[in-house]
Amino acid sequence: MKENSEIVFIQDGEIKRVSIGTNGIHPTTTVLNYLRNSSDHKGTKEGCAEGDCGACTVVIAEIAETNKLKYTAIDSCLVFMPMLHGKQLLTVENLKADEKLHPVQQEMVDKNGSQCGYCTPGFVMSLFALFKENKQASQDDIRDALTGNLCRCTGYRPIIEAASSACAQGNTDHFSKMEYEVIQKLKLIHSENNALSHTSSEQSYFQPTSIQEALKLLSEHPDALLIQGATDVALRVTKKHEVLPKILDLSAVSGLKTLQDKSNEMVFGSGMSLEAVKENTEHTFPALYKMLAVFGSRQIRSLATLGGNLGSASPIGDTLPVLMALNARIELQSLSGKREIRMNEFVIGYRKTQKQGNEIISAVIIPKMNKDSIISSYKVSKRKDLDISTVSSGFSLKFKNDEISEAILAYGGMAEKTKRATSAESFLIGKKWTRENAEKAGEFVYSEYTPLSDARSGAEFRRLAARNLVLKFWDETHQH
Amino acid sequence: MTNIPHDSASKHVSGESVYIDDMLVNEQLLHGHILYSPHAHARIKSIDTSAAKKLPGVYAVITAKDIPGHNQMGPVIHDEPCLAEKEVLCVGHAIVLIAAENEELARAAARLVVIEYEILEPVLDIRTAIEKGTLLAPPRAMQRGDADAALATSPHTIKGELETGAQEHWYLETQSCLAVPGEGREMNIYSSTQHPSETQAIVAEVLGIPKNEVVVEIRRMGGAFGGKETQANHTAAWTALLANATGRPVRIRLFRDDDQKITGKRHRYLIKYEAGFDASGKIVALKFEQNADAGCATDLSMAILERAMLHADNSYFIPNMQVIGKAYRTNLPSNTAFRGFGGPQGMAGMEAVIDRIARFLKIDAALVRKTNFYGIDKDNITHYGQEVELNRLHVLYDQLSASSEYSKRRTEVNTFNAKNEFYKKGLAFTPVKFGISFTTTFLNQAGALVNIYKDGTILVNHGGTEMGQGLNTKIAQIAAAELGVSLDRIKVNATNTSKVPNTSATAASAGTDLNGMAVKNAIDKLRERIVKLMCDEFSKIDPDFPSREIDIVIENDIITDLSFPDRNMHFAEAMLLANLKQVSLSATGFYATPNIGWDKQKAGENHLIITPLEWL
Repeated sequence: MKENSEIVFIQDGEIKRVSIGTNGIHPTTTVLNYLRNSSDHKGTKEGCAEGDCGACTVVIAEIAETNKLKYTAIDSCLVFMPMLHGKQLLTVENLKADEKLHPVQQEMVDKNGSQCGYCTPGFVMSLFALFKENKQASQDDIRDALTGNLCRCTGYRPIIEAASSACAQGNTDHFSKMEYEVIQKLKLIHSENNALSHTSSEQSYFQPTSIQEALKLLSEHPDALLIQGATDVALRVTKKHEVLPKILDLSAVSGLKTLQDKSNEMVFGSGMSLEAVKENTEHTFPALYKMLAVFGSRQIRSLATLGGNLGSASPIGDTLPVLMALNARIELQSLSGKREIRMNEFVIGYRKTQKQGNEIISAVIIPKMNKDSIISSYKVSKRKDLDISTVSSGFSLKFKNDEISEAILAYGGMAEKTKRATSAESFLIGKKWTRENAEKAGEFVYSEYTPLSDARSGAEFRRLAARNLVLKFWDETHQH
Repeated sequence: MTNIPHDSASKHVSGESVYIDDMLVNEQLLHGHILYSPHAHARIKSIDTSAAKKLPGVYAVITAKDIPGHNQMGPVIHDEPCLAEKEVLCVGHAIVLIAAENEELARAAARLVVIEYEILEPVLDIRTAIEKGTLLAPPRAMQRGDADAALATSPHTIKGELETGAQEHWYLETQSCLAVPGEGREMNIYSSTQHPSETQAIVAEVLGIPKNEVVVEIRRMGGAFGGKETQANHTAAWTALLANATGRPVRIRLFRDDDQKITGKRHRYLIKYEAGFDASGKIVALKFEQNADAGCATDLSMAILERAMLHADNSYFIPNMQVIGKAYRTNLPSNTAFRGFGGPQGMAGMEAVIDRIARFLKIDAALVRKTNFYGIDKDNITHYGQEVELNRLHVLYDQLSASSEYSKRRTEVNTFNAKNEFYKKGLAFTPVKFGISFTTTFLNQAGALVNIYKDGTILVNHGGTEMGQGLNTKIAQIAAAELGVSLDRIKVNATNTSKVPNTSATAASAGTDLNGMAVKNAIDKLRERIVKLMCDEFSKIDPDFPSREIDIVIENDIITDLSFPDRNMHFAEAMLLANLKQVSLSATGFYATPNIGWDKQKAGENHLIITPLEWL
């Protein structure tokens, strides 16, 4: 692959060229650190450096399918500089026009939405992205858009009020006037060579734009760390201060972001953001939607991908248990072709999967729901949103003549990998879905696992929660 | 009422408000880094910094022995070394400070420091601390009546424990400081501190220089919540030491993970109680033993403990009450001030008792609360001897009870709970009585410096600090109202120890009251001068009919003689005149809260008895 270290993006209205390897920019320099190190972009704050607080929220604008700009709020502390390539970066400094505050800023002032002010730029940028969505934002939309922003002075109510009145004003602002020009600039950037590639003695970084290119790079560099949204991997840089020697960044591969709606199944590209998956599953796969709704903040979901979540194969991995319950299949691709693996067999150990070194996860295939089945998902966490699960689960029961013919009770957080409660499943086969049987199945679940005690909870709590989730599933699904 | 936005609101929303880490400094700026203990309790056998010192781009690697002044940063009791020398008492205990060209280099240098430890057994929880008797100071006690005797004759008694947990402040802006050396021994400190005067004192102490060489300034904090009342001093002391060692500006903004490990939390409490009551829920006897987890040093633990004891009654009259307070050392970062300053823990103990009584008697807890409220004319003396005056609690209860439709909701909740096996609802109606002002009496003071410039603009300096509570907005409003000028004439300056010295922390829910009164005091002086000047000037118009000072008012930027309304002048014009007439347009203000204080009487053998409290 041809060496191309120049990250090209739009900042402050101008095309900006930043060469990796110069001015202290490494492939894993975060956008936040880039901003903080310049003298005129101190508005973006670091609160936690792990995507929990949203003080570093910035907005990325990209050309959407409709040839309009799509504005997305993200946590700049989790985004590596090369990921800006071909996009527009908008920071809090960009919102004022002719010394006049942007509507979201003005409403924050008018509704007394700031106290100490440190979280405020982040809130403002989340509000700005919501404003640009141009929808009649409901209270739920507003809360969802602000879940990733913490205000410790506890001023949420005025902020929510500011959001309501700003969003009621439509989405026209000075960015609307500049939209055509920005699109032309982005197209100009895209017309140049787009695939980034940088190699130094310390770090190599590849950002291919096609699947073929990615697979070729992977065959040449099977030791490369694959990233998509990098919301998990970024923590190794921001928290553990690791130098990641070789990275293959799939975030620019558009071929991995497609969705195919077939008659009997849906095929989700592994590079689709969890937010995009969420938008497409509310009616088709409500159990998955329900899990995604509490999967991190809007900022995280807009970066994180299904492929990334599956690839990291965390023992908790919120989407994994529900994908197991949905009987999903994982599509893997290498230079020699494609193959499919059932989700239930995909994870084989602690952060280990059946994916070979020369393969990438290209898609997740979910069969459409059967009317004879009930499927649900649950997440138990200390915080409702934006938290790692203490216990997560995906349940599916298929019935034949009122009797359970197939059962999947999959759990995260209970073992070294996401794992099914096979004893409880066997017990349920042939049984009716009664409270008594649900409780008995719960007891099997309780005995099935020997979970760990950690900062999130003790082992006994995990066992009890896992057991009781079966009862909760019964309570929500049995016929009254 | 007009909605006056926070004085920084437009800057907040546009990212223009400047916090310590946003301040632009010259290229000489170095990055400060703290190397701290990974062990809760250990003896330091050796520290080897030689390899770290050799790393290019590293300008200072210092340990306790390099501290030019005292190795001490305890705010009240000097039991907190700035850098650990022989023993580390908690995870996060600072040992080595590093200044380097950038963060990466500082971290690389930190990896080259070799510290050998001998691991010692830590005390990590309050129960172990009690077992081992690691008392921080003599226990405190407050009592009224004879709780033991009354318990013996009570119709019903309960006994139990309540544990309250720790809490991290999680101010969005972590502890931050920028130290810029001046000429000679001068040190300019920009610190995210609630207590600039104390930060100044601690910096002077560790550098071994007098206080007049140290200036501490803070424009605003990105949240504090008590976490920057004493513990901002630590980061300031470390930064100052590095700036002093290198002769260059140094900044430390604690990395979130480091901040969470290094700094103290809300005090964990183990509260033991025993209560005696009658069938109506009326409490006749109550004994509390409050055990606080102070962490590894005193910090403000004793003041926090005393406040917890002072709030152990919450809003209830208990005829026979005994409160014993004990603070214990553990091997955790020294716990510190946090919103409420012990009040929440004290009240939580009382409310746990109320809740238990309600469950025992199977009556609504709100009724048990009402039954025990402080009376209006009788049963209105607290267990520490203060009379509860102007008690609005009964009126509030009735109003809220009606406006919230409490009984209706209670019935609905009960019905819902009876119908639903898995989902339950709760409802509580709980009062709070909270003490304002410092219990350390002399701290109830504040200063101000108000300057009027020749263009009629006003710069207000005061000793309070802005951390999001809107103090500066309120101060500006006070200044504008007291002087009779428009709000946009007023600018509230960054808090600076060279403008207003010897201030108290912005704490105790008293920042506006104290500093607002100090500002008013300064403005009273200025207005008096302006009125006298204008009286003389207006009198010149017709010496046969001289103006009188009593008639001269300043309103909406206009100075007018009410008896001769034609005699008026714009405020800005008058200030120019004042300068020409050699009238000083700068004044200091001061305020000390009157009629406040308490007398801690020493008595008894084992306990420091604090009873009764006398509010002078």
